[in-house]
Amino acid sequence: MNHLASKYFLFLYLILPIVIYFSVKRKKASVNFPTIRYMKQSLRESKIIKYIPLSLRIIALSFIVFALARPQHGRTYQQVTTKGIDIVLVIDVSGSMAAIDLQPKNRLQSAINVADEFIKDRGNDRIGLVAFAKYAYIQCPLTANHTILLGQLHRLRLGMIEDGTAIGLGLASAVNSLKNSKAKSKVVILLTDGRNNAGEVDPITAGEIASALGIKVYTIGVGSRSEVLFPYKVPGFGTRYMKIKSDVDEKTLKKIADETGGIYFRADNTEALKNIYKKIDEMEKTKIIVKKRSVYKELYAKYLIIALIFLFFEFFVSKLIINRIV
Amino acid sequence: MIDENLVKKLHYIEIKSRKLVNEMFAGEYLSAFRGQGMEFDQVREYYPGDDVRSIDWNVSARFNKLYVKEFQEERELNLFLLVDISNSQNFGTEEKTKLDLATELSAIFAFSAIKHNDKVGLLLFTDKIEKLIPLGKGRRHVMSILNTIITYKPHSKGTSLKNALEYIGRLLTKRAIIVVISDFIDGDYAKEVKQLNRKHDVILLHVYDKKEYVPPRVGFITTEDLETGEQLLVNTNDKRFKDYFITMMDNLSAVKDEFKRSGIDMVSIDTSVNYIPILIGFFKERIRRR
Repeated sequence: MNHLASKYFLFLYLILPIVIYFSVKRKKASVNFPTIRYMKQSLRESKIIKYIPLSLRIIALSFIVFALARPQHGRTYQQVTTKGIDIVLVIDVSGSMAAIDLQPKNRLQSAINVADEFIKDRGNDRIGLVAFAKYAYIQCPLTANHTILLGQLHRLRLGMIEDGTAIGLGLASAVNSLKNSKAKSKVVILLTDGRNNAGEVDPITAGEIASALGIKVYTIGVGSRSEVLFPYKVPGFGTRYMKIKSDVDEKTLKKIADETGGIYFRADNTEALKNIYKKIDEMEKTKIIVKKRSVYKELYAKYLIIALIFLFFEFFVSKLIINRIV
Repeated sequence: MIDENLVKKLHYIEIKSRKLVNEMFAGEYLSAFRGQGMEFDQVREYYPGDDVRSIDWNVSARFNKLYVKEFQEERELNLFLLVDISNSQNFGTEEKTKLDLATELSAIFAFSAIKHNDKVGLLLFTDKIEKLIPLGKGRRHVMSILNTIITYKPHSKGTSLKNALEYIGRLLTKRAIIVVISDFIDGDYAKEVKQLNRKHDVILLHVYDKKEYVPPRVGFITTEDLETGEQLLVNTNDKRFKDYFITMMDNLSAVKDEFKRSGIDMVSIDTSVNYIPILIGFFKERIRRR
């Protein structure tokens, strides 16, 4: 990839016509002779020879101007070891996530889809994934390999963990996987639709740990505020829907968020959830430090050498071939 | 504003040319321009004190009394110097420029003239009439003429012989010897010379530098005209360039021949050679032709 580092020097090309004008007009060093005005009537001068020195000089000047513009051959190395942000997505996979208030399918699917987009947007961050219900599992440790991460994300299923909602445990697992991280900014995005009812760790305590470790926790409460339809299978009758009231422990989530410097969001539909992730994405954007290293090879020397060669020829022609004795 | 060098130069020219005039050109000038010098006037009786050499023995024998021949000075001559001080006269590749040579030649003619009690005048010209010194006599007058030639700064650079010749034709009413000293690098001037020669005695002294007619071979070179400043890149090794100068020389001899047929002398003098033999030869040639 070649480019000009100081391309404004190219404006010097505008001076070349002026140089030409004055060179043509200027009186050259000459030998005085009495009869030139009569000689001029009968002897034609060689225009080619006459303008060779000027042409050579103009070519040389063009190369000098080009060299001044610093042509470079650049190679950009993208440091993959980004010192960006470490993010752990904590996703609730408890039974309540099957509620269909978030379209197209259910809460979990919406969460997965939105997280998928989020991950794809943040190519330079290490991202980990924790799934929890009654227990919490690190579905995927912090990694920059987003292909694997996405694979793991889409492997999340309802019922893969015994039912229950161990928010504290989920958060603690996330904090645990972030504790050795050297990233400048460590973020947990906790997504749940319920209230802590399992696990040995209190969500508030987990929040305090996170806060102590400098981890920012964004909490997202999922679920419509009105009653939602919840599918359940009745043997022999197929899937039935039951109206239940969503029970997000907003107070706790808010407290965790406040304590760690994050924000609590409420997502009552897919669109809202999407916006929340987008917002988080934007808020954390500035802190991305992408280590992109570009190594440039300066090419001016080549052009200067060409210019010097032309200047040498100009000198040679104008001093040694033309006007040898002036 | 007296330049030490110019004063020296003036003195040098005076001494050199007076010496030359006294030793070498005395007789030649007289005979070339004044015929026999003295015109016979009358014979009268000898009085004591008369030069015995002037006794006319023929008449004395016949009358048995001493008679002397009396001569009258020939009508005095006017010599007018027309000196070209155009910029091309400042060309010189040897120790002298054409103008230097012109000055020395002027001095010789001027001192020759005053030696025989003739009047001398000067006209300096370029393409304009630059300076006129009317006819006058005496050493001081000649010195002022020479001083003017040496120190005068011309206002113009070009050459117009035509102009100067026409001007002098209108100016001089009495017959004069007009010596034009120039490099004759000019357009057409032959008609005016012939016109002037009808009434006056015109002598053309062509001063030139060798390199003007045989330029050195130095390859491509930018040349500039001394008078117009035009520049021309020439290839001095080119045959056409060489041919140009051959043509120029041919033209010069053609011009000389043309003047000769009209009875006008044109003498070429190279800045690098001793001009004394050339001048003596020229004077002798004039005497012979009488």
